[in-house]
Amino acid sequence: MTMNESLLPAIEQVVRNVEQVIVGKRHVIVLSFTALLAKGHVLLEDVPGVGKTMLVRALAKSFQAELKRIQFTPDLLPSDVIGVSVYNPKERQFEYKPGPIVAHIVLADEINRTSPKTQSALLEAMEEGSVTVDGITRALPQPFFVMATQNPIEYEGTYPLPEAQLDRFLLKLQMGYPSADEEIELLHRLEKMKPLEEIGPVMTLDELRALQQKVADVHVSDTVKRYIVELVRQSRAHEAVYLGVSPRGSVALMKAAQAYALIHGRDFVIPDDIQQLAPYVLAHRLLVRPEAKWDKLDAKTILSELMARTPVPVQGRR
Amino acid sequence: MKKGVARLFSSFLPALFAAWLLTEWLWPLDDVTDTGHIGLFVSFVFLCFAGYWVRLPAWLAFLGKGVYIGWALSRLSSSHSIAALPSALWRDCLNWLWGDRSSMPSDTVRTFVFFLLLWLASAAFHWLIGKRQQWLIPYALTVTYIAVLDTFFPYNGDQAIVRLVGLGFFAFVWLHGERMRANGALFSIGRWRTAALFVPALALAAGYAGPKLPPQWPDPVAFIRSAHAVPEPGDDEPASSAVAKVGYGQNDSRLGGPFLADDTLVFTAKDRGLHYWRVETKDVYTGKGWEEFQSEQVYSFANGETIKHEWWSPRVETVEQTAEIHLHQGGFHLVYPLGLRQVRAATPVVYRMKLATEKIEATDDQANAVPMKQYVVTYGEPDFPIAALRAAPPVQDRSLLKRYTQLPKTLPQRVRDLAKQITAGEKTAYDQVKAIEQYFQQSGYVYETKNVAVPGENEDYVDQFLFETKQGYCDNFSTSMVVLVRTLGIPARWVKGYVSGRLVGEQNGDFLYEVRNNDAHSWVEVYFEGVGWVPFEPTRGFVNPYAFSLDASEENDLAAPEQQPEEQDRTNLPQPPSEPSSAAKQDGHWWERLVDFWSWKTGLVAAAALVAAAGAIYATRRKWWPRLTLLRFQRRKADGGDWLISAYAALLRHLHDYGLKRRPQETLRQYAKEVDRLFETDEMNRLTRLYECVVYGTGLPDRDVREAVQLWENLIKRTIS
Repeated sequence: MTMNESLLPAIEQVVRNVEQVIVGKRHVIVLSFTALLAKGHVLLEDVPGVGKTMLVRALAKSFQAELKRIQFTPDLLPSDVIGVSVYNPKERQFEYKPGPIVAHIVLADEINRTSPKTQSALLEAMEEGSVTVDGITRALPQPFFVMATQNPIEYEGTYPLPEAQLDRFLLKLQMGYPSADEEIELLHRLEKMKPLEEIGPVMTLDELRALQQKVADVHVSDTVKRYIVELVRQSRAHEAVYLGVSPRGSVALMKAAQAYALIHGRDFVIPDDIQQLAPYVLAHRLLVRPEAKWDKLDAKTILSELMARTPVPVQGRR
Repeated sequence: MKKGVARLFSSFLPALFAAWLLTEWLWPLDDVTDTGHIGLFVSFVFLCFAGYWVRLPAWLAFLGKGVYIGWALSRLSSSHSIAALPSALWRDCLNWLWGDRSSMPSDTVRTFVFFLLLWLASAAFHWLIGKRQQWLIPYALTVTYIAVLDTFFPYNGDQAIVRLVGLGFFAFVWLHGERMRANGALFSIGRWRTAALFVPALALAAGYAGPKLPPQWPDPVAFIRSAHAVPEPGDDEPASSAVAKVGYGQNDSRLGGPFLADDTLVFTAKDRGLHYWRVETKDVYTGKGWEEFQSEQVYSFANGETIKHEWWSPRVETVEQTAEIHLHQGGFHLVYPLGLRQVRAATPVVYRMKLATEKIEATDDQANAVPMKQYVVTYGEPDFPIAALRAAPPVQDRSLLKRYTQLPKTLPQRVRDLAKQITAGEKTAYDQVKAIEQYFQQSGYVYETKNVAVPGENEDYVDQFLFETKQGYCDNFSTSMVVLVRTLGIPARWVKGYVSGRLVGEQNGDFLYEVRNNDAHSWVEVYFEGVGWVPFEPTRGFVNPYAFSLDASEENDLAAPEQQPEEQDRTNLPQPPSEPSSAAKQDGHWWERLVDFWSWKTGLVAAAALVAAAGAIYATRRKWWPRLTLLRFQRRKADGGDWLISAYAALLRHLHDYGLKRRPQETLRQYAKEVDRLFETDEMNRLTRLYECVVYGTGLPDRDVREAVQLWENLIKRTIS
C-alpha cells in the first residue's frame, strides 16, 4: 500500500493518535477508518494477540465514542446482543434494556464461536443500523461501527459465517504480525506506561458524522465505474471462481473507494483507489472452487490476477 | 529448466561470434604462411566454444579437446598412429630441446603447440566476451591483425573486414540491448534482438552494393618503401606468393591469375601530350604468356642525341613534344612515349635500346646499368590518318611477317574461327583490326582483377579467356587481340608499360601526371605497311589515347568518325543475345531506357537507399516527432481539460516510444512513478495528478492549467533523445 499520498489533515491526526498505540499498522488503521467513513463494518481475521482490540479501543478513544465489547460464546443468545425488554413492576410496563450492540463502536470478538441465530442478530443490526425488540424498532446511535474478529486457526466448535453474511462486512482485514523493529518499539512503549490511557480524543463525533456525509459527494467518474464493473465481471468469469462478486460487491467497492479518496483528500476516485481496496473489499465475496487449492490459488491471488488482466482506463471523455 | 534454455539462447550468439572472431585469425594463415588444413583448426575453435556454450564439465571438455587434438595430429602426420603419438611428441620435443635448436621442431610438435595456443586463445576470448562481455579488446585486436596482414602481406582482407564490420555493428547493438535490459525492465529485448540482427545486415548490404571510393590514403607500404628509396634492379615480383601485386613485371611467360592493387608511385611526368608510357614490347606468344624475341641487337644512343629509330613513315603527322620524368621506382629502364626522338639526363649516360623489345636502359660507358632519377624526353605525338591505314597494302616483308604473326601450334582452331567470324565482311586490314578491338567491348567480356584464371597444363591462355572465363585484365585483352589479329596474318605485337597516369596538376601549360604501379598496362600495336606500328586498345574501360584522323572527304560522311563505323559494324558481329539491338535502344520508350540505365545494381543501391532513408526517418522519430507534437499542442489554446486529455495521450505515446511502456493493468500513478524514477524528477507524477482531475475528477482547476502546460512541455522534451 504505497500511495505516497498525504491524508486529509484531520484524519491524519486520528491515524497518528491510533498509531501511538498500534505500532506499524498504519495501513490497517487507514482501512478501518475507510470502513468507518463509508458506514461499513470490518471483519478482522487474525490470530489472538496482534492488537485487534487495541485498535478498536484506540479508535474509540480518538472520537470519545462509546465502545462496547461482545465476547461471542456458543451459549450467547440474541438478546444478549441486542438487548431485552424487562418488566418494571414500578412502572408496570416492559422496559427496554439495551444490549451491548447499542454503542458507537462495537467490538464483536470471535464472532464465529456463537450460534448462527446470534450471529444473524448481530448482522441484521449491522445492516439495518437498528434493533427490533418486541416489535419496536430502535435506531442505533450514529456513527455505528462494528469491528468483528474471527480466529482463523480454530475450527473446533465454531460456526463459520455463511457467504451471504460475510458480505455484510465492507472490508475483511488482517492485522498480521509486526516486524521485529516494530515489535521492539512496541515493547519500548509498553515498558513503563500504558499508551492507551495516554491518548485522548482528537475528533468529535460530529466532525466524524460530517465526514461521513461528505463521502457521498466524492465523484466517481464513468471511467472508474466502468473499471469497477469490468473488474467485478472478470471475477465472475474466472475459471477458479465458483461464485463471483455480486453487484452488492460492486457497490461496496465504490463506496469504500469514495471514502478512501476522501481520506486522501481527493474529491474524486481514481483507479489506484480501486486497486488498493479491491483485495479487502472483494476477497471475502468470492467463492473459490475447492479444486483451485491445488493450484495454490486463493481469493487474494485470484484478485491480483484479475487486476493484472483488467486494463486500467486512462482516457475518459474521448 | 526453462531458465537454462533461456541462458543457452541468450549466450548462443555471443559464443558463436566469439568463435567467429577467433577464426578470423586463422583464415589468413593460409595466405601468409605455409600452414595448411586451416579447417581443422577452425573446427577446433568451434569445438572449444561449443563446450563453453553448453557448459561442459571441465574434465569432459578437456577430454574432448584432447581427443580432437590427438585425432587431428594423427590425421596430419601419416607416420604416427594415435597410440604412438604421445611418445613421438615427447621424443620430438626432447630432440628439439636438447638437440639442434637452430632448426624448427618437427611438424607434429608445431601443430600440437599451435593447438594449445588456440586452446588458450579460445579460453581468453570466452572469458572476455562470454563472461565479462568485453568485446572491444578482442575485436580491436582482430581488426588490427587483419589490417596489418592486409597492408604488409600478400593477403586480401577485404572480405574479412566486411565480416568484421558486420560483426562489430552487431556486437555493439546487441550489447547495448543487454545493458538496457539490465538497467530496467521496461524494455522489450526480443524486438531489440531482431533489430540487432536486421539493421547491421541492412547496413552491410547497402555498403556492399553501394559505390565505393578508392583508397583515400596512400598505401603505407609504398610510403615506407619510398622513404628508403632503394632501386630494385630486375625482378620485383613477389616470388612465392599466390597473389601477385599489380605493377610492372618482367616475366610474362605465364600470364593469368589475380593481382592486388598497389598504389606505389613509380614516376611523375610533366608533359603536354596524351599517350601511354612504353617500356618494352614482346612478340613470342607461347600459349601461356609472352617471351622475348631472341636477338641481342642493341641500338645505343648518347645523351641528347636524336634517335634514328623509325617509328612511322613520314605520312604520319607528328607534333613535337617534350616530357620531364622523375622516376621513383626501378630506374634501370626508361619509360618513354611512342615516337621517342631524344633523351636527356643531367648525368652523362649512354642509352641502350634492345631492338628485340625496344626496351631502353641507361648505362655508363662501360655498359654498366646506371639508375635513372630524372630525364627529359622529346617525342613526336602522332596523328594516324585513317585513310592511309585503310589503304595500307598487305605486308610484304617476310621476316617481319614471320616474326609478328608467330603463333604456337597448340592454338585451338576455334580462336582462328572466331577471328574470321568477327572480321567477316571487313575489307581492309584496318577495319578488321578495329572490329577485333571492338569485339571485346560488347561480347560480355568483363574487366576483372581478382577472379582471373590461370590456364591449366593443356589450356591456352587466350582460348581460355575468349571462350570460357571472359573476365580478365589488360593482359588478357591485349594478348587475345594480338593473337586474333595474328591469325588473320596481320603483324601485331604486345606492348607493356603504363597508362598516362593520374593528372594531378598543371604547371605553365604542362600537365603533371603521377603514374603508379596500378597504372601498369599492356596494349597492342599493329603494323600497317606504309604507316608503321599503330597502337590499339582492346581492354574494356580503357580508351586509346592516340589520335586517329579522317580525311576531309570522309569527314563529311561521318560526323562521329570513331563511333559510327563501329555502330554499323555491329550488326555483323556475333552479339550476346541478351543485349537489345541498337535500334530498339534508340527508339525505346523512356521507361525502357530507364530500365536499361538502371541496372540491377543501381536498382539495388536505390532500393537500399530508400529503405535506409525510411529506416533513418523511423529510427530518428524520437528526435523529430516529439518536436512536432510540441508544435502541434503549442498552437492549440491550452483550455484546460480537453487540451490536457489529448496532450497527455500524446505524451504517453512518446514515452512508449522512448521505451517506457505502460502495462495495461498499470495505473497512471504507478506508471508515473517509474517514469519519474528514470528521468529523476517528479514532473510526471505532478502532471498525472492534474490529469487525474480531468479524466477521473470533475475537471482541471483553471489555476493549474499553466502548471500542466509547463510540466507537459518539460516531459515531452525529455523524450527527445
